[in-house]
Amino acid sequence: MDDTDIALMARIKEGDLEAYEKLLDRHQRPVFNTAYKFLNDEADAEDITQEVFVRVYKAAGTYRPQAKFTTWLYTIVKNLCFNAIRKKQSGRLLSIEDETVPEMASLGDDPSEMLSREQVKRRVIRAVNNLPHNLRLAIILQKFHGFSYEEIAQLLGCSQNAVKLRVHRAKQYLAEALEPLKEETY
Amino acid sequence: MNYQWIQDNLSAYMDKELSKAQILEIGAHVRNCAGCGVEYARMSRAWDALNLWKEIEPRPDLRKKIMHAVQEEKRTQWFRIMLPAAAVLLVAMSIYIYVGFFHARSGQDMAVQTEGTAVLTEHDLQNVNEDEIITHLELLQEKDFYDTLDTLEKIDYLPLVEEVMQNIDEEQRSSLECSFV
Amino acid sequence: MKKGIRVIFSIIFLLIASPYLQAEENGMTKNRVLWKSMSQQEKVRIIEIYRVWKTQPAESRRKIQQNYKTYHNLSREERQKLKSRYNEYKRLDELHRKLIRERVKKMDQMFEDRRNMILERYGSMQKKPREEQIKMIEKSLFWKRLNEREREIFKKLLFPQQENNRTP
Repeated sequence: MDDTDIALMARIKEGDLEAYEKLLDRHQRPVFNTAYKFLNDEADAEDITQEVFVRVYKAAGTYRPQAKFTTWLYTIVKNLCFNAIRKKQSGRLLSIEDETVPEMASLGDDPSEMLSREQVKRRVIRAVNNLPHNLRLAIILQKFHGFSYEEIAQLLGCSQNAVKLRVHRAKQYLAEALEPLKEETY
Repeated sequence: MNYQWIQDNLSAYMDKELSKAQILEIGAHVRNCAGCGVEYARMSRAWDALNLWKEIEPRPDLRKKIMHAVQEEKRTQWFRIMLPAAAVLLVAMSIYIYVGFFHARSGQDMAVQTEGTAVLTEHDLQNVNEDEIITHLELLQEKDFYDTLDTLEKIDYLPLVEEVMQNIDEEQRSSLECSFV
Repeated sequence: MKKGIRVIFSIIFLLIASPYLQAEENGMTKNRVLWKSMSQQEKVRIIEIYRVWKTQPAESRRKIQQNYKTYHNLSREERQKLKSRYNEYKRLDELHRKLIRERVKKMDQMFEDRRNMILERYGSMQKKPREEQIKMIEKSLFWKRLNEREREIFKKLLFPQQENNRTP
């Protein structure tokens, strides 16, 4: 039996819960981790994940495979993550669309010191969390889910060129943020 | 393909998001240009550092929670079918009631049209609320009867009134007699 | 889900209420048709009655409306009896109507316990066969104190439908 994502969605539309469970098992972990990396909060990530898959179920009846299933799925993830951010940031001047890369402030570590992997990891996470939201999501999807520039462009609703530019800026920022770290550390 | 363009496309080169020809060209340049080489190495290192950020396992009950939510969604789906049906029924009932009222009114208008006689004079209709008359028409037609009704009902009791009055008087007389004894 | 339940209850309410709404509307409709079909003379008469009714004290109008409701709650036999009694009452001259009204007024002015006694006795009397009722009335003080003419009147008033049968 064809168990591609699109085939499973077609079965879910007919009320096949087994197909739904298959789809859930396939995508639950990566969706959760995307939300977790984006929001940096496990509980929020769980809530987002639950909401994503409930929406997938609800939308099964009207789902039309016009693009890759993962592009559609992660569009839902993106929308829910951005909503969560908006709720948390309501009242703040910085909007979700702002793509100003922050100045790399000192992270308080001695650059000459050999940092542990854990410390490097924390620095990496801090650096990613400092990125503007669109850039942050683009990096997460590209690095951890192998999304192409084209897919990221579809998801973010912008041109491929714009994605290229965003990714480049994000990488430059990360490079600057992790500059002091010794090569051997990671 | 100028230097700035190469600088701007280092990430795309790293991600293999360029054409084969462009990748070859940038690759050759990066090998030969110290500045671009250093920049490329910095970005590669930073990109590799992200590998430290491992995936974590969601809690085991998350799956259960999601399935429960979906089961609940399935259960409530029938309401979403009922709701439009109920709305349609409601609209149909409203139309039925309205049409029934409208039909009755138009029937009356027909009766008025076929009458063809002279209308009441202005004097007759002075200070008269026709709707109130219509509401109480039966009462007004037999107003005198309804005015007298309670009297008419009590006529049944009249033969008993004097009997009771007499009994009471006798009791009172006998009690008075007793008190004097 | 709550929205759905609300809608369902609204529908159930409408299903139950609509026959009553329809009945009330039908009543008005009937009256409207009747009014439109009345002759001019009849309409003028009704309008005059209406004008008099409107000038009556509110309590008096309330009493008439209450009597109207009471009448429509009575059994068919009781309604027939009262209608016949009214026809007889209408034929009386004002003197005898006044006599009846005064006797009824006397009863109304009685203490409640005495009124209740009368109602109790009336209730027991009603349970007896018609012949026995007639005998009881004939033996009553009330009857003995009536003159011939008054007896004729009360004969028709008390038993309006049975004029051909034995009456006191």
